[in-house]
Amino acid sequence: MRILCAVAFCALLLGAEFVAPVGGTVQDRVLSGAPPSLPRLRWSSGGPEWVVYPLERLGGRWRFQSDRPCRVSFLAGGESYRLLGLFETDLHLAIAATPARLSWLGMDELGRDRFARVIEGTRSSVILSIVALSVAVLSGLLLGAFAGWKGGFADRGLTMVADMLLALPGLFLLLALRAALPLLPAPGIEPLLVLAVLCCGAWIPVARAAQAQARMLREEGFVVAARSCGAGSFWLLRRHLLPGLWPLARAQMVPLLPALIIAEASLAYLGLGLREPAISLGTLIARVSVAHALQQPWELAPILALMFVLLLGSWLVSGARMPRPASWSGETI
Amino acid sequence: MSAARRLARALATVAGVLMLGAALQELAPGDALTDLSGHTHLSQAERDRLRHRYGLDRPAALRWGAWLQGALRGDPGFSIAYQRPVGDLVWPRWRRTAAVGGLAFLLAWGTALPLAAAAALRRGAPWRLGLNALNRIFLALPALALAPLVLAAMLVAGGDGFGLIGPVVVLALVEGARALPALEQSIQTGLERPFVLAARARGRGMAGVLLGHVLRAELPALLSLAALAVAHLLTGSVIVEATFGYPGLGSLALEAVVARDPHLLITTFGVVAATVVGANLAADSAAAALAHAGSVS
Repeated sequence: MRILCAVAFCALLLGAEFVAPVGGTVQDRVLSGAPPSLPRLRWSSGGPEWVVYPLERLGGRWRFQSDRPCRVSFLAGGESYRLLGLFETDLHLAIAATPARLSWLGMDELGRDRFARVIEGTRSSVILSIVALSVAVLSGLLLGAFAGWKGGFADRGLTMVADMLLALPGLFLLLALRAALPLLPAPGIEPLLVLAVLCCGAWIPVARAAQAQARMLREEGFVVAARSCGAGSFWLLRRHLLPGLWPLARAQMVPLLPALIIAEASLAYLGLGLREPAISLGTLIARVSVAHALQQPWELAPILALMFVLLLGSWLVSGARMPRPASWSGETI
Repeated sequence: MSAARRLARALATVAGVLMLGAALQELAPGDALTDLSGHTHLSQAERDRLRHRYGLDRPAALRWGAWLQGALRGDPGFSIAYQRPVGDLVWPRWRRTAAVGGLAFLLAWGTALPLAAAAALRRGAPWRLGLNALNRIFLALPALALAPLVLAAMLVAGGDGFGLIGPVVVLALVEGARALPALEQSIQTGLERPFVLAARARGRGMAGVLLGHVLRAELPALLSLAALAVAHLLTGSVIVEATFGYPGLGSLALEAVVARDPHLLITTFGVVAATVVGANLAADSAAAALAHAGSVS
């Protein structure tokens, strides 16, 4: 059940362009700030069919032109895109005939489809966080294991560096690291900068845990025995150290992933992470106009998307057989 | 660890953060005058003149040496972005953030502690399920998500000069959700201690046991949780202050990063690190003192 949900969620994110009627960067200035236009069921001569009514703006108010129903066709061709960045196709899950536009969550103030933007933003946030998590866990494990195994200067040095970095609470550490990078990077390298900042902030807890574990394993009887039998350090590392560290790495990933998602979104929210035209949950939340939240509740979609991702993650993880930390959300960042 | 050693270690950590702050700024391309936002009309000659005036053309070692000398005498340099001494900026901002953080902490722990105690006492009660679900939902609402929601709620309620209320509510909700499971765990551990069971067996009332035995036994754990809360509240303050336009330490750090203001940046980050390290030091020392008092009596 949990695995099915996870797969469905990944498919939704990866197939964002297919699920959404248009891409998240396509603009339709006429429809800027339009409310959602949802499909309605209507009886016609040929039986029931789904229709969408085109919107028009009259005197500052949006009105559906109910005399011009436009059919919704499923799995039909529309704007072309590259699925997964590979296959050129123009197939969309549901699309309305012109002049109507199917939009589940309305348009933003620049006339871009909010539903598409929320899915694509969630996708970039989740992918960035997962990549940062893998790099951080790998480098943290290696560094920590090395320091704990070697002992002496390396051990003390890593402890000191980690102490220092942990003295700056989460977001401040990321801001300090961000200060070392160009303020207005070229759009292409922006995700790389965000990755670098996230990785530099996230390896510390992993390294600390790995260090403690390696320090303990070094003194274990079976390691001492292997060493006395003439085992080389590579053998020891591969057969004795790394298997002992893997469960630890898994347990570390549990609180780190949501923390990274929140950190990435926070950086983008503050204008120091991904920036327009790149889409991230943070940039979307930064654009939410809270003044109209009551009249236009769909404005709040990016916030709910962040909440949904974190809830889904905590639910997925709660089933896995691993020690659950007391607080799942943001232990370190 | 002795008190002197603990203090020395804390000071070394703060010194390390200052070094890190200086090193990161030296790594960054350009300086405060390369991309002064809104000052594109400045000619290269004018920029170089200003650079000379602020001493940015001197070698790094000299610059940071001079800053350190000033900071040790209580004058942490001059802010280029604000055109004011950094000391005049940082302290009022620190007090503002401390006020918001302190109020949020009191609100969060004042609510979470009784709730945690009630939850630890009644493990099977049906309302526990509701509390758990609520806690999970709020754990999935970081400051980033909660701040716009609270702002929206306040705008609907009418009024715009809310001052402290918005930031305090957001931080309290975030901190309360984070602290509740940890507090409950801690109280649960306390309730299972042998002397607590003995006190209950002797007929001591539940309130007396909770206040007299459990809280006292768990005080070191609660203190270190509270020290952790300081770091979390500071992290949250960056987002909250940016959302509500509240002039505190978090927004100052953000402005310093965006303006590439060398003295302001290093001082803000130094003060933040000193606050976190100081809170940890206080918690550790208090726990050590408690352990000492316990062993003497």
